[in-house]
Amino acid sequence: MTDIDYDKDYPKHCVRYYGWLPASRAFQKQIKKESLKYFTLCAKQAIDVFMFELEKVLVRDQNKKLPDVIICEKIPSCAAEIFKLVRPPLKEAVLVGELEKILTFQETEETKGLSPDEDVRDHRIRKLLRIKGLSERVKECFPFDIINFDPYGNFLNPVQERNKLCQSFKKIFELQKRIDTFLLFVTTPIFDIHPDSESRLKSKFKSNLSSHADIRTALKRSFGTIAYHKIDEKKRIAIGFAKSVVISAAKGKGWNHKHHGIFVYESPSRNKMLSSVVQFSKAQTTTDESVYVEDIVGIIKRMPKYYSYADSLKNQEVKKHLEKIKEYREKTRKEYRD
Amino acid sequence: MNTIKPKDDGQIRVADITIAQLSRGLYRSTATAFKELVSNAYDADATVVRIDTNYPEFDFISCVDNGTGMPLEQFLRFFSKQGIGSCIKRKDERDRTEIHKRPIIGRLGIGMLAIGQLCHSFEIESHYRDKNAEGKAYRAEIVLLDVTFLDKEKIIRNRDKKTKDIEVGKWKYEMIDYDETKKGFRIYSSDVRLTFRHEMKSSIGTKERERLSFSLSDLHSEFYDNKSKRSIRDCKPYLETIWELATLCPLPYYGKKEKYPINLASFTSDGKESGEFKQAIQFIQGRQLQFLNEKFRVVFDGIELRRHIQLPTEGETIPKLYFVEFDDIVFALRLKFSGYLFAQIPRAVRPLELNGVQIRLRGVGIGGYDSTFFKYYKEIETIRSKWVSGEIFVDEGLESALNIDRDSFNEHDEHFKKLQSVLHKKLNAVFDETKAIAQERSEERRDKKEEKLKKSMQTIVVEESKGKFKLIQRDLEESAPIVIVNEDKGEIILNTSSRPLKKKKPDMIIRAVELAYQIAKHTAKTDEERDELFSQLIKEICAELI
Repeated sequence: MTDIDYDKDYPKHCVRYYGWLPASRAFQKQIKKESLKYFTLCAKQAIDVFMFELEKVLVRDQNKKLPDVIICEKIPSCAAEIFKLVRPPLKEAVLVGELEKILTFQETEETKGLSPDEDVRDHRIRKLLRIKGLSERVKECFPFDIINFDPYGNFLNPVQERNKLCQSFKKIFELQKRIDTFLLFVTTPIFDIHPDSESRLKSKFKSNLSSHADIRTALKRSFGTIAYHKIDEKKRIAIGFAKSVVISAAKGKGWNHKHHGIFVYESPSRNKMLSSVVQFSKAQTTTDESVYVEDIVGIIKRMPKYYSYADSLKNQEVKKHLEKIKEYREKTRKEYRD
Repeated sequence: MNTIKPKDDGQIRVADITIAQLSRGLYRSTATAFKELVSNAYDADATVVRIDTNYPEFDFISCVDNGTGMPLEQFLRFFSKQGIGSCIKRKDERDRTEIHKRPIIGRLGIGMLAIGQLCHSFEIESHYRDKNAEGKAYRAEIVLLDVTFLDKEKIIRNRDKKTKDIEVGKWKYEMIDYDETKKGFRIYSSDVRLTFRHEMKSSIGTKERERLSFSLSDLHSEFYDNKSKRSIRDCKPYLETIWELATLCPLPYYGKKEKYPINLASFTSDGKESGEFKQAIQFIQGRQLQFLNEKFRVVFDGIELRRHIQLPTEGETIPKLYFVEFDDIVFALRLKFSGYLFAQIPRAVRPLELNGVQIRLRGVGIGGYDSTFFKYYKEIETIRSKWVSGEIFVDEGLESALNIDRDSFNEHDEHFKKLQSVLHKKLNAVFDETKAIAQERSEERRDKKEEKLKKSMQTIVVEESKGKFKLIQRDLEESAPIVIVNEDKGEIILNTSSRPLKKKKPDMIIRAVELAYQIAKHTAKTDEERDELFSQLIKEICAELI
C-alpha cells in the first residue's frame, strides 16, 4: 500500500473528484463554514489536503498557515515525506503513529499512573506511553467536520471482532459527539475478504430483506433478484459494507446517516477498493429506522459508481484536475523558499 | 607480586567506557547535535537535507538527505565489527567528496550518534548504489541503552572483572527494495527524549504558535527587527536552535549580496576606498559564491536555512571592515586561513551571539562566535570588544586542534596557537583604530554639544533679560569670579575656566546657578520678580545642561 504512487493513481482521483470534493463543497455550504476542520490519513503525497486547499474547502489563516488539519501517519518514512510536502503550511503537528492503536489505547498495569511526559528507561513502556500521549492528544483534536478514514488496513479482513481497524472506526463516533453533523470518507480494500466477513455480509443482507419490505422491493427492481450471490459483487459488497461496517458502527452512538456516494475503483495494482462518502447527523432522540431504510434503498438504486484503471486513464477531466493539484502543491513548496 | 617490569613499552589504548560515553551524545546544544547530521549529509554529497521535529509537538524527528547513502558494509563496520568511530570517509589521501568535491567534514564517524542525544532509539534507512552501481537498500533499528552515571560507576568499580565490551545499544537490520526516489540516508525517531521535547515545547506558547511564520524573511525579522531582543536567547529555544544551526552549517548568507552579511550602504564612499575593505568584501563575496555553487540546502521544519548575519546591526554607527589572512607551514603542516573582522563604532553588536569571532573549519562553524576572541586579554573587558564580529575560514590545517565534539579547540595545539596569535595581532590594529575613531567621534560630539549649549545659553540670557544682556563665555583666570556683570556694555561674562569643585559636571551646575542669579539680580525690578526669574532661569539652564 505504501508504495502506491498516488500522483498517478487516476482511479483514486476519480473518487476524490466525483465523490469527496462535491460532497465536501455541499457540506461546507450547508454548515456555512469558511474553512472546515479536517482529519486525514492521507498518503505521503497528501493530494487530498492540497485538493481541498486549492478548492477552498480548507483555507489558510492570516499567517499563511493551514489550521485545523490533522494528519495521521503510521509509517515513519512516509511521515517524513508528508513533512516535506505539507510543512509549511500545516500548522499542527502530524500524529506519527498507528491510528488503530491510538484510538483504542487502554491503560495497562505498566502505564497506569504514568504520565506520557515521563521519561522511563524501559523502551517498551516508553512506546506504550507514547501511544498514551498520542491518544490523549487525538481526543483533544476531535471533533472534525470531515474525517477521511483511508487507512492502510482492511475492514473486511480479519473479521470485525478481531479487526482493530473496525474497533478504532467505532471510536470515531464517540469522539465526534460534540458536533451535530460531519462528513466521513471511509476506504477499504474489497479483495482478500475474510470468509467470515463475507458470511456476515450475506447474513446481514438476508436480515435486511426479512425486516424491511422497502429494501426487498428496491433490490428486486434494481437487480431483478434478491439472491445475494446473483447480485454483482461490487454492488453487494457496497450494500454489505454500508450496513455491517459503516452504519452499524454509527447506529449505537446516536447518529443518523446518509450515503452521498459509494465508489469502487481499481488500484494501480488492479486490486479493487471501495470508498464511501457518508454524512452523519445527530439523531434527535433515537436513530430513526426510516432514515436507515431510505439510505439503504438509495444505495441499492444509485451506488456504487465504478472506476476501472483503464477508463480512469482516459478521463482527461480527472487527469487535468490531478495535474492542477500537483502544480499547486509544487507552488506551495516553492512559496517558502528564499 | 608486582607485574610491572622496571622497563617496558607498549601501545596506549582507550578504555571501552570512554567510547561508551559517546553513544549518549557529547554535544553542547540541540543545534550542534543536528549540525553533525547535516555534516554527514554534506559529506555524502547530498544537495538537500531535511530535518523535521514535528513542530509544535516535537515528538518525532526525521532527518532525510539525498546523498550517496551509507553502504551496508559501512553500517556493519560501525555497529558490529569495528565499532563507533571507525570512519573511512577520509581513507588514504581522500580529502574531498567524490561528486561535488566538497571538503570532507567528518573524521571519526561519530556524527550519526548525535541523534542519540535527542532520542532513545531510532530507525535508519539507506538507499545507495554499491561499487557495481547496483541499487541496494536496508532498514535498521537502533535502540540505545542509556548508560547512566551509576552504570558507569559500576563498571569503573568492577574494573578487575573482564568487561571488555560495553553494551551501549542493540541493533537489527533488514534488506529492503531499493528505491531510486529514496536514494540517500534517512533517520527517524518517534522515541524522542523528553528533555528535548520539553525544551522545544517551552518555546511555543499559544501566541508563538499563532505568530510564528515559516517564511525565511519573517524569521530574519524575528531575529533582527525586534530591538527589545538583545540576545538570540530571547527568541527562546526553538528559534535559537534554528539560528544556531543555520549559523553553523556550511550555507550561504541570507539575503542580497550588497546587504548581507555586510550592508555596503552603511559605509561612506571613503570607507569603501580602503584596500582592506575591498579585500574583505571580495573575500566575503567569493565565499558566498562558493557556498551558493555547492548547492547544499538545509531545510529545518520546512524552513530553508541561511546564515542570518546582518552587519552593522545598529544604526548611527561608523562601520569598519578588516581582512585577515595567513598561509604558512606550522609544525610541519600547512595552515591556511582568511577572514574578516567587522566593527561598528560605538555600539554593541546585537544579538550578542554575533559578537566575537567564529572559526569555520571546512565551512562549518566551530563552537559559535567566541566573544573572548580566543582569550584576547587586552580589550576584552572594555566596551569596544562588544563592537566587533568576524569570521575566520580555515581552509587547511587546524584539524588536529579540534576536540572530539567538533565544537571547541585544544588550546595548546600549534595551529590553534598560531591562529590565535595572528588574530590577536590583527585585533590590536582593529582595537587601536576603533579606539581612535571612537575618541575622535566622542570629541566631535562633545564639541558639537558645547557649541549647541553656548547658543542656547545665549538665547536664554537674551530672552530672559529682555535684551538687557548678552552672554559672553570666556576662559578667564581660574581665580577670577564665575560671572562678571557689565551693565554699561550690557554684557554678562561667564568664566568657563572657573572650577570651584574641580569636578566637571558640578562645576557646570555651579556656573549655571551663578549665572541665573546674576541675571535675575540685574534684570528684575522687585524681589518677587527676581525670585521668579531666578527659578525660571535655573530650570531653563539646567534643562539645557543635563
